[in-house]
Order: sequence, then structure tokens, then C-alpha cells
Amino acid sequence: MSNFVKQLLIILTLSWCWFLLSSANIFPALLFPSPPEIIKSFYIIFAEDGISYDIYLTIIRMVSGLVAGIALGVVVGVLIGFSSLVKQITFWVDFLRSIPGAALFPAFMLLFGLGELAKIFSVIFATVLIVIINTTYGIKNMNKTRLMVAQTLKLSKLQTFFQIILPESLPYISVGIRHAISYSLIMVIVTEMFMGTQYGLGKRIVDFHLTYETGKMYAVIILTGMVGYFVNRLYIFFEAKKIHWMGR
Amino acid sequence: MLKIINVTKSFGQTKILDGINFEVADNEIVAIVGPNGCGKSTLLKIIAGLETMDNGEIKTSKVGDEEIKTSIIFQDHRASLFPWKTIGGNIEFAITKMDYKLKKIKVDQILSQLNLTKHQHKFPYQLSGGMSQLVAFGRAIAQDPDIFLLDEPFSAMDYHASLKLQQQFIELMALIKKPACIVTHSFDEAILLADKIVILSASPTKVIQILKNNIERPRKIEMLSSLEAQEIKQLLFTNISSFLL
Repeated sequence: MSNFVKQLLIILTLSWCWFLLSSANIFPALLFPSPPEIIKSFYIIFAEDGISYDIYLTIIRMVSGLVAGIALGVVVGVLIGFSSLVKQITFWVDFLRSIPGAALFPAFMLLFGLGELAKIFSVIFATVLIVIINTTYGIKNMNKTRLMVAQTLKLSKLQTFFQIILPESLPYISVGIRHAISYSLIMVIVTEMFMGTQYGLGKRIVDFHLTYETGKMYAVIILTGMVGYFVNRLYIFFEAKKIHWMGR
Repeated sequence: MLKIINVTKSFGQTKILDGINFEVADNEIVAIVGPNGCGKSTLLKIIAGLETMDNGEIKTSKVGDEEIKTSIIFQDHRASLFPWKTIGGNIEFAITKMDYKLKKIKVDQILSQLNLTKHQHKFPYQLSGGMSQLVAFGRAIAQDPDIFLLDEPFSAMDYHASLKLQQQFIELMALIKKPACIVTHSFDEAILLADKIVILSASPTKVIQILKNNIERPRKIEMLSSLEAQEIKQLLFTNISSFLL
């Protein structure tokens, strides 16, 4: 049996379970729509509600926060990694990381208003710390043998950094990025739910919830999962190409 | 020529190297044997300039204060090669100050010398242990050093791979004609490869004895069962028996 057929069977089984559950009338049909209803809603949100624009906006917010968070995280992580205060600073990074990003929403809204800036800053906050931690770890735990090789090659400090230390820590940085990707989507969805906006998948979930269009609500939830999955796969594909020595 | 004169090194309160003296002549291969923790690797690092010494001197026949160029081959080839570079890339990276075309020619030359041409686009993790150590040799050759420093280069692979690599090393050194210092635990390896065997004591480490090995190079592995080789081995055992107790 091909992989595709197996996956199809799983989807059909799950849908069938959902279908049985919804037709058992444990929950009112309005609150727990059946699979055909959700599939129909999928069509309607694309055809009539213009969900494509929401997907686009959510991805843009996610990616711009992510890129900024990763760039900042790598730079700060490298600086901390080389600093003599690495232990002390790591404590503070860990402490900050223990604050759920959502707890900072009010502060972000006060500082950056209700617009895009506040949303993107929330994503940066949620992603930068994990990237910092992994980058610092990569720098601290780099292979000393290759550093010695670099020394006998008489490389300059800059060459040693870009040719040896950076590629050496890439696998660690990449682990941070993987976590950051999942955090960023969580953050975007939640900010779209609570910080004023017209568009975005998070906003749509809340709106369809308020209007009891539950079929559409579930459709958008599934769509959000698809976005997360797609971005993740895209990154893993990129990682396998560019950081091919990871874990070998 | 390289002269190691009265090299002394302590780590904290512990004295490791306590006045090490020996010479490496041009085109001479010197094996350094001694018990674990006696500072053999530290000595190599000092020669390479990767570690400071408290006292002593490393003299070369180079004029002025020109630094000696060394290349180290480490025991752990996995940790010493650059996994983000191909085999060809690893070797090329070691060649500095040369224009692109000449570089390419030199890399190709080293690759064919080592029989690695068909593997040049592979990555280190795609090769066997013996073969990746061969790449590390290639990178060391590309550095064009005054002396090769080898830190237990044949011990991170299985016995047969290690014998094969030793044979390749012998052939390479016959072509390259440069001095080398090899740290090893294996007396057979020392006898097979070296012209001179420096026996170190346990730390604080001194030179116990320097044995000459006049068996003609390049040698074949069968040589190890010869009478001359057995005699040297006998002497090695006699010399280390004191610190086996």
C-alpha cells in the first residue's frame, strides 16, 4: 500500500469518527458541525470571505517577526557566547523566557499601539530568546579541535568566526529556529485575536466564533494548522539542504 | 631541523613536562611514546604554538624570527575535518596565499596523490574512518608545513584500516621528504614509521631514552617481524618496564 493511500485511509477514518461524534448529538450541531459542513465552509471562506488575504497577512506577520527575531537572536547570542559574563546573562535570558509572551501584550500595546508594530514585536519577543539561547550554546560548545586547526592555518579572527565558528554553531542555531517557528505562529494567532485588527487567521477564528459560524471556525483552525505545518516543512527542507552535516 | 630544548610546562601546581630535549632532523620521522597523561599531546601543541611553555625553546634552522609552519593531524578525524566542506573543499581551505588557478591545480594534485579524486565532492561524514583521516593528511600536506605533527593518527579506526593508512603514510612521506613528529601508544607503529623513538616517562615527564631505528625507509609492514625490529621492540619494553610497576 502506498504512503498516499495509507494517509488517505487515516484521514477517512478520522473524518468518520468525527462524523459519528457529530451525528451522536452529544453537542448541538451548531457547536459541533459535521465534516461535510466543514468542507463546505472551506469552500465558502475562500470563495466568499476572501480568506486568502488573511492567510497572506498572517504569514507576513509571522515571517517578518521571525526573521527579525532570528537575526537579532543570532547576533545577541554570538555576543553573549563570547562574553565573559555568559553565565550571568544566560540566567536573565532564561528568566525572560519564563514570562509567557501573552503576559506582555498589555505592555506591548501601551508601547507600540494596536497596529502591526505591536504584533511583530510580540513575535520577536517570543522567538528571539530561544534563538539567543541556542546560539550561545552553539558558540560555547563548539568543537575545540577544529578551532586548533584554524589556529594552525593562521586564520584571522574574522575568518575564524565566519569560516569556522559560525558554520560550527549552525546546527545549534537551527534547533533554536525550529522552536522559534512554532512559537511565532502561536504568537501571531493570539495577537490577531486580542490586538485590534481587521484581518488575519486569528481574527477570523474569533469572528466566526462570535457569529456562531462554527463550520467556518473549524475550517480556519484547520487552515492555521496547515500554515504552521507548511512553514515547518519548508524550513526542514531548507535545513537539510543548507546544514546537511547536522547530526552526522 | 627542529630542536626542542628544555621544554617545561605546568598546569597549575602540577608539573607536566620537566625539561624535554630532542631533535628532529630534516626529513626525519620521530615517534614519541610514553604513558597516558605524560603530556605527549601537550608537547605537540607547544611545538605547533597552540600552547605556551613555561620555559625552554623550540629552535629551527629558519633564519630570523620567522615562525615555523606546522600542521597537526589529530586522532579524531571526525572532529578535525570541516563537515560543511567537501573533501576537495577541506583540502583547498588549507592552502592560503595562492591564486585560484594554482590552488585548483594543487588540490587536484593532492587528491590524486591520495587516490581521493573520485571522492572529492563527497562530505567527510560520507567516508570511512581511514579515508577521512587520509583527507586530514591531505589537508596537512596542503598547508605545506615545515613539520608534520601527528597526535595518535592511527588509533581512531579499526586495525586493518590503521595498517592500510600507515602504509599510505609511509609512501607519502617518502615522496614529501619532510620531518614529522608522531605521538603514539603503539610500539609497532613507532618502529614501522619512525627513524627515532623518544621514550617519555610518566609526569613530571622527562626523556628516558632516545632509540635510533636505522632500518631503511620506506618500510613494509612485514618488516615488523624482522630481527632488527624485534631488537628495537625489546629495547622499548626494557625502557618502559620501570614505569609499568
